[in-house]
Amino acid sequence: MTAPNTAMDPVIERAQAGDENAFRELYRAHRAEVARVVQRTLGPSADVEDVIQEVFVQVFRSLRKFRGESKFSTWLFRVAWNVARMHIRHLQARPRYAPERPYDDGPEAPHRPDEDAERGERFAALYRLLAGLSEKKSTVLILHDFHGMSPAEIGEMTDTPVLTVRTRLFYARKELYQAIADDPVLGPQVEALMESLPGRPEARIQAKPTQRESSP
Amino acid sequence: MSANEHDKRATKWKAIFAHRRGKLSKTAATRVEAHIASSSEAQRVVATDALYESMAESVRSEATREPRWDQIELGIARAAKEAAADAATPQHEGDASEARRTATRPRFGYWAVGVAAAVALAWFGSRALPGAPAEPNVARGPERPPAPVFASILATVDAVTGSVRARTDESPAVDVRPGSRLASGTTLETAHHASVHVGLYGTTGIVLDGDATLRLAPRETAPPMARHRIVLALDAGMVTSRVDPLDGEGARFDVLAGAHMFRVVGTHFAVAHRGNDVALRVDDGRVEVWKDGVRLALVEAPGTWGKVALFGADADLAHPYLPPTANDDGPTVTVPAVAGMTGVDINGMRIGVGGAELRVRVAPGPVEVIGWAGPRKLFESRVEALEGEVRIEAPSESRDDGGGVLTPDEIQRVVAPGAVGLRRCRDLASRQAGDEVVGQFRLAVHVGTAGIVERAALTGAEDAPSAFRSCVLREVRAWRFPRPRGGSVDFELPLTFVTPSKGTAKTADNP
Repeated sequence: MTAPNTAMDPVIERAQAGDENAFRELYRAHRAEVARVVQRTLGPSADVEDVIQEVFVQVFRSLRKFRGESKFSTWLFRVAWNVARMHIRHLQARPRYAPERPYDDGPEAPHRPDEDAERGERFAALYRLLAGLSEKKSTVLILHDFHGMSPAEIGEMTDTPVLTVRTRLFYARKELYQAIADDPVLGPQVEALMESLPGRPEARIQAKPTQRESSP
Repeated sequence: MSANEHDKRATKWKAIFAHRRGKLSKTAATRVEAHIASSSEAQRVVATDALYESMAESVRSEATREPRWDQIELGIARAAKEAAADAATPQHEGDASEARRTATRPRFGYWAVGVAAAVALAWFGSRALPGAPAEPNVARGPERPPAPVFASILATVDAVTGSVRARTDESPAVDVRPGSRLASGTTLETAHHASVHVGLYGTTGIVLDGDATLRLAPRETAPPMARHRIVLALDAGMVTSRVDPLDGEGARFDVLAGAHMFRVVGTHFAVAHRGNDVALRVDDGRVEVWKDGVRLALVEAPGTWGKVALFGADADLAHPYLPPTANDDGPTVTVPAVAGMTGVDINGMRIGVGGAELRVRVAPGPVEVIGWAGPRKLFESRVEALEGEVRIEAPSESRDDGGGVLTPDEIQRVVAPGAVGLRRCRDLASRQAGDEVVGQFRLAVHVGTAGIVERAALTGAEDAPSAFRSCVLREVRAWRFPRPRGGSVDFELPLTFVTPSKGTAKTADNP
């Protein structure tokens, strides 16, 4: 993924020179890759297509700066990753409203979501909890667990020692797991899994997770 | 927890992780298993790890959901269009220079303009967008005063009935008229029985009913669950939205009513807001209801949520009037108030009116105007609108006595593809009612001289859900036939719904 190119792809060179057809060629060749990176980074979000669009806008803005010192796919991954992370950061930076009682108006009140929506809610909850971690922690978790990158690759991409990446991965996972156990959507899933653990002692588990303020 | 305890706990967690990933010796694994069996905290770690790993595996292994690439490309094209429009009316030195750069960059074409658009949009998104004072900058004919124009345009007024005013924090309220361009931060206020049709993304728009106040809110002030560039903050009244189903996410927006956020997934819906009450009605697609960062409901069409009494009678939702090709300088048509008039067709596009004067933007050329009092045609008029304001002077009573001709083929060419929409009505109504809508019905259709379905009735469906009936009639009214020769045409269609597994809506034309 990070091996340098010995020769610049002629399509990239033509695109850098302003050839519109070359741009289109690059777009067609790499759009699926960009979609994958964005979807895995954002999770179930309706913003995915907006962000993919923004990635390509950024690619075409920055393409002239690409010198072929790394693979184009590596460079593209970084652009897509940065745009997606910027999007998440932008969402987190918005002002928030004070909590109020949920709307309830008797029999006409909320519909029950279907199964797909419930599954989507679980993944939305997971990504919400990830967003509640510090950016450094969520970065290593998403890159390692969702994008399948090794600690060495993460270290190279984030300019961080591998040992630090490994340590950060552990503490990120620890913090995330505590949040998962306390989450109103994912917590019950954990409890259900605990019930089915093999070799579990007869005594029922009484301990409840400490109540923590869940991230909005 | 002391540092020592913290370290001990971390060691145990690491041991559990190592065990779950098969990295321990047999002896060490036995020790860890014994610890897990005796510790509820360890069991919780194991269960959480199992849950998380399965979810992470799903993320890694699931096929990428195919985005709508055509929409993404259209989005870039739209950004290019916006940049071009902005370049035409530069209001900031940075914009002007950007526009000049864009105009002198020939080789990048479509893509490069898209990039320039992104720069312009980023600039719009990063400033406070207070809304500049009214500043006419569109040349118009002498017979009509210029429409107010604000900086950083987000929307365009396409039709107005009655009195509608717009204001910003920094500029006083002014009357809006067809062609008025609205910036982020603009507040629209409609008088009693007035309404305004606003185009947001070319083929997407909203209708704001009377006694309503709605702000095109800057995204910076929107709650965190808002996800689109435009947020419509409905302080009071009712707004009906129609999102172009072919335009994907790019044409969508969020409606904010008090603390509730209605996140647009679907395409035709209305939000009402009075005092502390809010309500949602979805006629097509889906809308998510959010509050405090939590999704309260996913409402699918046909569906409602909240205090639906705010919507009043069981009427069809309005359709925003969106002139297909008119530019801001194009002509407008004014239809005077006529007693009892409830709606006006402008070249086949229906606009509801509450007895007030109607002003609409049109594409230059011939315009056919039909006034309606419920199902009764009040008048029909044809005018040539090329520029400026064209006023319908004296509507004459039209004859509507049938006698026209449409061949069975001409009818079938419209009805056959339309059956898809009818099946969707059945499927949605069946899902909502929890029971299959099956049976044989008859559709009575009256096609006017313009090829528009002027009346439609569904018989034999008295026991079917009302949502099904209204959905079918809505679909049928959207059918467009060739102009009948010699007058209007009446015909009936048998409509048969069998079980979904066998599933089709069978129609046969019987003119």
